[in-house]
Amino acid sequence: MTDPLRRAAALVAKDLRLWARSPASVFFTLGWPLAIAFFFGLVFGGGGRQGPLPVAVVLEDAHPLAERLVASIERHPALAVRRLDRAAAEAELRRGRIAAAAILPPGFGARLAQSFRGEPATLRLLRDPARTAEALVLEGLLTEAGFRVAFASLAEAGSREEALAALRAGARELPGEPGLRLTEFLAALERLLSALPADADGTAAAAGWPPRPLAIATEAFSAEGRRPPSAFAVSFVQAMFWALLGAMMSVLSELVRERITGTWERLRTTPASVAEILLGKGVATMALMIAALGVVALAGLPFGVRPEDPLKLLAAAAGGAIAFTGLTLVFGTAGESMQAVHGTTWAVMLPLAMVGGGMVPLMLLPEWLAGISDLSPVKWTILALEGAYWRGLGWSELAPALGVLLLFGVATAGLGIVRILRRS
Amino acid sequence: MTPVVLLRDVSKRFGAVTALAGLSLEVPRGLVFALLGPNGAGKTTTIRLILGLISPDAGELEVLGGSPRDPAIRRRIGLAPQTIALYGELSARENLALFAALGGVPARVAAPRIEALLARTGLAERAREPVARFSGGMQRRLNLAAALVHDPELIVLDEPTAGVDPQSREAIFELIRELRREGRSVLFSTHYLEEAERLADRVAIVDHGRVLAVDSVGGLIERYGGPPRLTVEREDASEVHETAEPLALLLELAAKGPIRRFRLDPPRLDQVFLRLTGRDFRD
Repeated sequence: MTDPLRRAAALVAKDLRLWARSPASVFFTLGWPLAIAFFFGLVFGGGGRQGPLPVAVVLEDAHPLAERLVASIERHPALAVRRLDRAAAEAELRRGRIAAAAILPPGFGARLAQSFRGEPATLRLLRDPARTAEALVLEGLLTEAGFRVAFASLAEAGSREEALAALRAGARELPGEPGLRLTEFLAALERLLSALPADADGTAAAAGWPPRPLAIATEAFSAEGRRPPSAFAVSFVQAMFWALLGAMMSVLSELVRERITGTWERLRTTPASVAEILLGKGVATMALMIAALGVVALAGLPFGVRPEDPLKLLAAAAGGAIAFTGLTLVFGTAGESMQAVHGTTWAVMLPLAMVGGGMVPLMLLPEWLAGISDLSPVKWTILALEGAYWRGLGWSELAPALGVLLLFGVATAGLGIVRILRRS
Repeated sequence: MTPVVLLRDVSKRFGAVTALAGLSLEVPRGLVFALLGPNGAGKTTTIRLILGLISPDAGELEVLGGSPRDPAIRRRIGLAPQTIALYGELSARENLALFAALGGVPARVAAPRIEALLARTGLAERAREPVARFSGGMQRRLNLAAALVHDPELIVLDEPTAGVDPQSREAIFELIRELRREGRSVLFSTHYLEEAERLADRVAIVDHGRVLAVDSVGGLIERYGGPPRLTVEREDASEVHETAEPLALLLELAAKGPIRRFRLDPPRLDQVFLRLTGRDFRD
């Protein structure tokens, strides 16, 4: 090893030792980010498999179709349905234990059997005012179940007679050609339905009955084409940003302390040049940041947070570390005292984190704020890390983010070095 | 013999403040050399120039025959700054290992040298403890050891005993004497007269950014100290006289009336300073 390299290695080892022996630095580089990852991961749904929506059904009607509709929604995997009486359902709603309660009043089933003519069957939906979205989901599921039950009833001999009789009566009331054609259609429909084989439970017909004119295939879709597999996949990436920030603050503290205690000046009286001292500081900062990201990445494994491509994660981590190392060198010259340097750093980094998705996910930011996020290295760091974890970005798609981080890091490091040299 | 430090008519200003105003100095090789002066005299600026931390505005500067900015020259200089410039979270051994590596000492050479220095400074038993737990005196001794770990020819000590306990002070004095015995050159700044008197082979008196006089302590006193001081106490009063012939004066005074007690003080360094600067050293 050459002398300059040996000296730089000694400086790197010194900075890493100093970091490891400062409980506050270790906490803010690792403990705090991991706490954020766990907390927000859990708050926003943990493993991403949210439980079924808790709802209640108040069945006040003994008609078979009413019972069948309830049975239909009870089978739905997205719902956790409890049958309650009206008072109990209202009490559960007040306590916030259910999102909504569907009340099927007396006569509901009979009305549903004749739903192809006259007034529709009506059920009441009581919802928690704070959970409108969930109530709308339940409304949609109930509407679908109601249609299926009503159509299915046409395939059953008993209920078909009742329904078709009502329809025929309606057709007779239609004057002229339309009434005639509808009567012919109903006769043909009756023949068709009679010919359909019934299911084993006799509640619905096979062979495509009831017809489903519309099917909806639902899938989550992020702007880049993938979705985070869990809330932890989001919270651990945000934790990585906090780990970078924590490492940056601990290195900054040490930089200021070196100036205050005179060790910086003492280093400058050694044969090590300022360039070697800065190289040592920069390498130590980058190594610390990459190691911190590695620890956060390892901590994410038990929570199912796995990079799609470890190489891309390494590249993203290196990109983030380069950008934040540059910032460290700039902020290191922001003042003479610890308070001045920390104050300036927070004053700049908090807005950058805010607009860059370090505190609130980018998708939740107002449009005008998200528009200026391109200016923040935090955004590109998070985008690169998410690209490696779950956005499924190819190398060509990852390259712009990595390029921005590299350029940003080189520019800020250059500025920081110039300022340090001027002070020296 | 080429001096280890040579400054000729060096000036340095910081904004409106003139720190050095044509300072000239030669530090001979193998001696302990003191820069003596009150705070603000220009001692620290002189040391920072000698270490290459700042450049002179005017004048010539040569250290160990070259520029102090040259890494090869820096390798031959050891500095113990006025502040305890050590890493508090690192142990004594780790601090010394760091400065040895920065001084270009290979690890196999550094290890025994570090142990020897720890023993020499009385820190061997606490070599693995973080320096932050050390007393002020222990830190000061380690501060000095870190200046020696790369075996420099010229050792620069900025106020080496500032704020230390008497025991550590004596240990530092002894270490400096050992360095002289080893043939090294030691340049130290101080505002303690006693330190200069006890340690220095040569003393430069500095004030207002200039060297007012350079010589051995004895030489300075002889040249600038003036005559010895005779203090005579009578029944009702006491008198102080400066005279080159104290015995003759004493006999003359005794003839005038009874003397209860008398004391003869040889000239001291503070009188030299008073004569050179026109003010008391404590000003």
